Formats: sequence, C-alpha cells, structure tokens
Amino acid sequence: MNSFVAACRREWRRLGVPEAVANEMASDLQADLAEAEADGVSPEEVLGNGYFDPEGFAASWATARGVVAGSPRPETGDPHRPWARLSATLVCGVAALVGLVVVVAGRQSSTAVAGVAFRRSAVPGMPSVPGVLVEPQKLFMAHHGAAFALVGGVLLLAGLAGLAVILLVWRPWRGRGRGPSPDRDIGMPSYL
Amino acid sequence: MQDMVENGGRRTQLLRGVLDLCLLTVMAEGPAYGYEMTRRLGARGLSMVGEGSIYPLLGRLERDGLVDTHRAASDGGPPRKYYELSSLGRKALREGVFEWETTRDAVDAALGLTATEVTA
Repeated sequence: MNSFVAACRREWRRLGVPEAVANEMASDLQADLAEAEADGVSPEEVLGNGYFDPEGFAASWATARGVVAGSPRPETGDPHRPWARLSATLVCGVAALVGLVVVVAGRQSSTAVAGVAFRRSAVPGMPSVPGVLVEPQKLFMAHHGAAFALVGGVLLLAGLAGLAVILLVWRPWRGRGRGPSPDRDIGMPSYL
Repeated sequence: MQDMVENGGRRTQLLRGVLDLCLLTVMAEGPAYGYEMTRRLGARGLSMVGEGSIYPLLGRLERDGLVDTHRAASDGGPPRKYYELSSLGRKALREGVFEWETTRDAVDAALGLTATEVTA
C-alpha cells in the first residue's frame, strides 16, 4: 500500500471512521495515485498541499464527509445547538412566568375574600347579605393560597435558575462562533 | 497583504471560493472519479499544485447532496467512485456561476477604475 494511503488509514482509524468508509476512501485514493503515477503526474497534482500532511488531509476528507466518530456532523455542527437552547429558554421562561402569576394570585386571594364579605347584593330591592356572595373559587383560593404561593414560588425560582444556567452556559455576550469548528477540533489545516 | 502576494495566497484564496464551482462544472461534462476530475481541471489550465485538495471538497459536495455517486469499473482499473451532478447541484452551479460573473464584473470595474486613477 502507498505510504500516503497507509498514513491516511491510520488517521481514519484514530478518528473512528467506520471501516467500510475508510476502505472505500483508501481504495479510491490508492487507485487515483496509481493512475496518476502511470500518467507521470505528481502526487501533489492529485492531492494538492494535502500531499505534505497526510494526517491533516485524511482528517479533512473524513470530516467533510461527516464520518468522523464522536464529532458533530458539519451541517449540524453548531456547538451551541440553537434549537435546544431556544427550547430550554422558552420552558424556563414560561415556568418563571407561571410561577409569578400563581404567587400573585395566591397572595391576592386572601384579600379578595375579605372584600367579598362586604359586597352588596346586585339584585335591586334585595337586602345585602354579607358573606353569602363569596364565589367558591375564591374561597378555594383563600384556603389554599399559601400552598399556591409555595408552588408558584418554586416554579418561579426554578424558572429563574434555569434561565441563569442557560445564560452561563451560552454566554451570548461572548459572541457567536467562538467555539472551535469541527475542523479545528481535530487539529487539521483548512484545505478548503 | 505583502505576505499574501509573495506567498501566492491571493490565488489560493480566490480559488478556494470557486473550486466547488469548477468541480461542478467538470462534472457537468459527465460522471467522473477523483483523478479524472483532476485531469479535467488540468485540461482547463487549473493545477492543484500548491493548492487545496479536491477530495475533502468532493466529500462536502456529496454530503450536501450536490452530487450523486455510484461505483463502477474504470477502464481496465479497479472499481471507482463516480461523481455526477444531482439536480440540486445543477441549480447550485447555475446560481454559483451567476454570483461569480456578477462579482467578477464588479471587481473588474473597480480594478479598471483604480488603474485609470493610477495611470492618470
């Protein structure tokens, strides 16, 4: 086997390229180099600058094909995974908002009952019967307001904590694209 | 900028931006395997010596669905992987050539203006 192809194979093995894919690439490369040699064409003409760096060439090719094990496929290689980040932000934001609403509702419910106790009848001519016009849902809230406030508080705190974690992990103020590209992850020159 | 001129970096950078179009163009002549494409590029005066390799780019074109591939026996040689334009690749080639021509004309105009200013 051509020494260049052998070096490529070692690199593909190191990168975890599936054996069948590595065999295919090695076979094509071997055949191309043999044909070029028969034509009197230099390997550099076939491989470009990659001829001087077989490992970088092999890594570049495998990465471009998306067959490097453990690395994200280039077309989905955004290290920040924007959809996952957006979904997590949305979930935490909604949780915080719901928590806030529940806390406020729980607090207001107890005062609402006191107010209702002095409401007058809406029917003309009917005497006022304080306390009779209390609405069941308000009574329920009045009795369970503390529990609602507790649940709301937990939701609110969890949502805010989630948002804080997302901000810390994402760190948008550091700008996009600062993470290494899949190509740089494997320490290879950018041939193309 | 001096380094770029002395090291031939400008040609490399320019080629890097259009080599995919060159490959798609030679593939439009008919299916070809890797070395066959190097031959076709050479016949058009485009040498890869000192430049990037076409193999990673072919991998990228395949991954992006711009080319279809199949294995077939070559003339008297082992089976090879043939690349040919997909319908998406033809569309990309049309658009790419249009972009190239537009950019080239604008640069030509800008450089022509500069040359006039310099010689005036």
